[in-house]
Amino acid sequence: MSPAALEDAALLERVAAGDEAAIELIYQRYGGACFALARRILDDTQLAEDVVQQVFLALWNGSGYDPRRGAVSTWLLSITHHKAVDSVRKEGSRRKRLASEQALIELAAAGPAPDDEVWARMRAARTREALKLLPAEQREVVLLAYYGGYTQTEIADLTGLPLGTVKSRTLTAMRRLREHLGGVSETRPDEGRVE
Amino acid sequence: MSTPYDDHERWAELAAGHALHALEPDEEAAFAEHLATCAVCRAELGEHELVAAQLGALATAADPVDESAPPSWSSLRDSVIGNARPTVPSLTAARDRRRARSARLLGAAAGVILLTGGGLAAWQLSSGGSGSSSELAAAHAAVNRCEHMTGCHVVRLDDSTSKTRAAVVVSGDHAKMWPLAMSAPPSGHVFALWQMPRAGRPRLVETGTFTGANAGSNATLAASYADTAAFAVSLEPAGILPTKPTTVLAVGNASA
Ligand SMILES: [Zn+2]
Repeated sequence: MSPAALEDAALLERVAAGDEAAIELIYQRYGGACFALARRILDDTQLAEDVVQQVFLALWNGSGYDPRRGAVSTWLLSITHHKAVDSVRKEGSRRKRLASEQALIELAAAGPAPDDEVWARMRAARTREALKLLPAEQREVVLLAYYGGYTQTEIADLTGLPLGTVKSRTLTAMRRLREHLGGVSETRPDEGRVE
Repeated sequence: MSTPYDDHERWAELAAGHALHALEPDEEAAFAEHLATCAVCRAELGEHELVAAQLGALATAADPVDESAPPSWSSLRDSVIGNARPTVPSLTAARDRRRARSARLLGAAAGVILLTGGGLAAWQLSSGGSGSSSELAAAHAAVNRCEHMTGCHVVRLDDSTSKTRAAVVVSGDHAKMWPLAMSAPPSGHVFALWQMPRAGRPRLVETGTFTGANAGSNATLAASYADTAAFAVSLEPAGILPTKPTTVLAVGNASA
């Protein structure tokens, strides 16, 4: 495990023991990423804040996170995504629909970043590159699902593709992304340590 | 006739849909049942979840820094923790203020070097001119040569607009960065070439201006090419050896 993951694991043990300072530290570390994801999907600051609150409530209540299944950052983003998608489906009218996906790939990594964000930006740059390597029709089904919050059935309706095609394209795309992204460590590196 | 899920690939498709939270409730239920009994699907789902998290992390990098700050912990605290315990207001609030202030200061300082809205502004302003035409020809020749050699790898470093700015030519445990569309760094600054191992933090390969007489050398890699996820070039203050990239300008994934 990377130093950051070990640090997270120690914090999570303290969270499980009811240590409020520990969950605050987890929030300082990952709350911003969760909020950015929820806001991107929901396009609504208040709804995004509600989602983030639910996510950290779930963490505090000990519901759902299993350390054997991977890093807490992965879990937090996954549950944030799930809750944001649930919320956008309830708030159907608010959806930005197709607008944002291309923008997401093309958006410049914005200006200078605090130290913590540099690693995130580099990872993001790699993810964008991996997305660009996908054929457009594979990229589309993944981004419609992930950032559009559409179910695969809805994507079939939207695109006019047979549902089976949507499913097989999505699988191929996810496998290719995994290949392109390689076995990159899932937590940020220990920024302070000099080897 | 086969039932829809005879073919295991169908379960694999559901695993991908599950990781994206894009299944219908009946599919979700069927997959959950299968997942409990299938180690293959559990392993693949784990990989899909990592990819999904990487997609999720795009949102952080895409959001303009000041557009909408995440809620402070103090504003969430009561609804998460419950208000049974007294809050300790001073620390959190002071820290939030400090963070906000240092973010502004950092932005202001960096604005001197780079326009906001893109770490690549400096390059864009200088229209991407790259040294002399003979240097450029040498770069293209080196890239071509490598592409026709076994065991030689070319990694193109693209900026956020997909413009290729440089190529890293990796042969054995040595790498050389060839600028393709780079102008000299702003005064007081150098470029740094980084190697991103598949695990762990970015490693510095070399710093320099990578132009003219100071073209990059054939530097030794910190980790093997096989263990390399990507290369990146960043802008750094001159005179100190950076321990981590400050402003990333271009990135390229290492091919398998
Ligand atoms: Zn299975």
